[in-house]
Amino acid sequence: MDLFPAGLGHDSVGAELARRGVPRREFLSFCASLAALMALPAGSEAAVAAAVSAARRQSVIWLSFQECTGCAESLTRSHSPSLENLLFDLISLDYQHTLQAASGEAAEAARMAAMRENQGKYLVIVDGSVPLANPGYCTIAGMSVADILRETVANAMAVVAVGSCAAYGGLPAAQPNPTGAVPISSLVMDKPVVNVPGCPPIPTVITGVLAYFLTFGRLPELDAQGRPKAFYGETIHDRCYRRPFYDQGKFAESFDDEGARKGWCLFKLGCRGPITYNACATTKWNGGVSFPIQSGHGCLGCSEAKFWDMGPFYQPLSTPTATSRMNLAGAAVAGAAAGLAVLAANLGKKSAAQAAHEPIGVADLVKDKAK
Amino acid sequence: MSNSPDIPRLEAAFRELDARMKGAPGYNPALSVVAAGFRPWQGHWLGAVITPWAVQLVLLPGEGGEQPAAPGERRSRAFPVGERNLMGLELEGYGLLEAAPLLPSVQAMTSQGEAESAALAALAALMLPEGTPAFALAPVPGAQSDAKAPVKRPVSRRDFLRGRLFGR
Repeated sequence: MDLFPAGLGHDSVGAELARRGVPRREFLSFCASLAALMALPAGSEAAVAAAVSAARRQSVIWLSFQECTGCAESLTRSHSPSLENLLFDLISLDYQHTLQAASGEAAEAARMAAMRENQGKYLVIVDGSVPLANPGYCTIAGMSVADILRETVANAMAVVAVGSCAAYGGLPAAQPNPTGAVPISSLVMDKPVVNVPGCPPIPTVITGVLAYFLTFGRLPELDAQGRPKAFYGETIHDRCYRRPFYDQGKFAESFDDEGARKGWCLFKLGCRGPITYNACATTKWNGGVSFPIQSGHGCLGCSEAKFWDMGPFYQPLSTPTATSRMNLAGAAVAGAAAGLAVLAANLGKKSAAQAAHEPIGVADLVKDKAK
Repeated sequence: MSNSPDIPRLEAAFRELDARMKGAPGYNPALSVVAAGFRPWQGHWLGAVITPWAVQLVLLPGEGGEQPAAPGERRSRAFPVGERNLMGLELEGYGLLEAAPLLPSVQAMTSQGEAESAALAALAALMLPEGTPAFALAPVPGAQSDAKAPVKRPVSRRDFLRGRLFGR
């Protein structure tokens, strides 16, 4: 199979790979790992390679709101295969605060240019939540992030909410949620939103979603919470290497007892593995080296909604899991409703400023506080 | 170890454990402890143990087989379907055995019958040669399929048991 045939468009992934001199073997092995990651049948790697090779470089606008940059860190620190990083290069990343060379007005101009040139075709990745209590809590170039989101998403093809902040509100939404933080899905109603939760998400899961989009030109199959089923279909507990110990009722009771030394189940030390849907136990971290439970610490459940309010972290889960999940879903809905109410209240007074892109800054924050 | 497995003692040991596992995450009160499908296998006894918190593949050491894995030791064992990692464990009230999860979760099971038939189907699947098409097996409750997915080749038993069909 000719991976980089002459007929490929100059902006195709294949043409870019050829320009970079990427070895065919490396590319094929990357496609095989992608096929496995996307849970495709064995033998699909050739089809994946052909599709990725012919795909047009996907324009991506990455917006960072109330976040810690851990998600971008996770993605950039992905170890292997090294082509993962390359794939990241192979999308046309037109706007990303941490990684882009442009700054100031040039950076914003790049976002506007990408939106104009790829109208209806670009992908928006968001990390971080949106504060609705006061737009001044998070602004970029004097524009509230709620406005930036609305403006950027208007002509996007789809939105990927990366990290627990973008997917569920995240740490900024921890009780008492001082900024009125809401997830992206509660503000974007007319575009498909893929949630890739995790604090941070596994790098291969982020690239896996992008690769799926590049390969098939559509989003992967999602569950009821908008998460790709291929990565979030099973709990950490379902695939945990310590699972045989749980099955036989063998639990570590403290972090330095005999059970802990023998690698027994960490449920009694607060492990959230049984209620946490993520791929850590199979994909692992740092190039497949390990994951928290393998390092001797229970899962914190960082990819579940409101995990930060589900403490204390070092006490065993006590409530039936089905109930707690339902309660959480209800709480998320209530939180989003409260956030929308605040948004509605703010929209009126801020609408004039939004229309004119009038900067919102510290002064607005102080004014609101004074009321 | 005797020539036949002491199933009543095995079930009694798991029932003892059941009293301590109540309230654990994933505990399904619709299920109860039953050992099922034990048959001679490579000088040992191999079968499934259904409990309210897990369905396990269990190997009980027999007289004819090689030394079983020590507690905490993982041993790769070759089944017709492929290799599976079993772990040596000391079950209080029974003794040494090897075990591995047979089904990922029992949370969605609605009855004991459902759990038992799923366990036996998974056990049977271990003994079929690799590449056996999925339709040769009874459907596994909880395994999802997507009729609209473009299945381009027969779904292998391995994919089927993982519940990951094309396009998922």
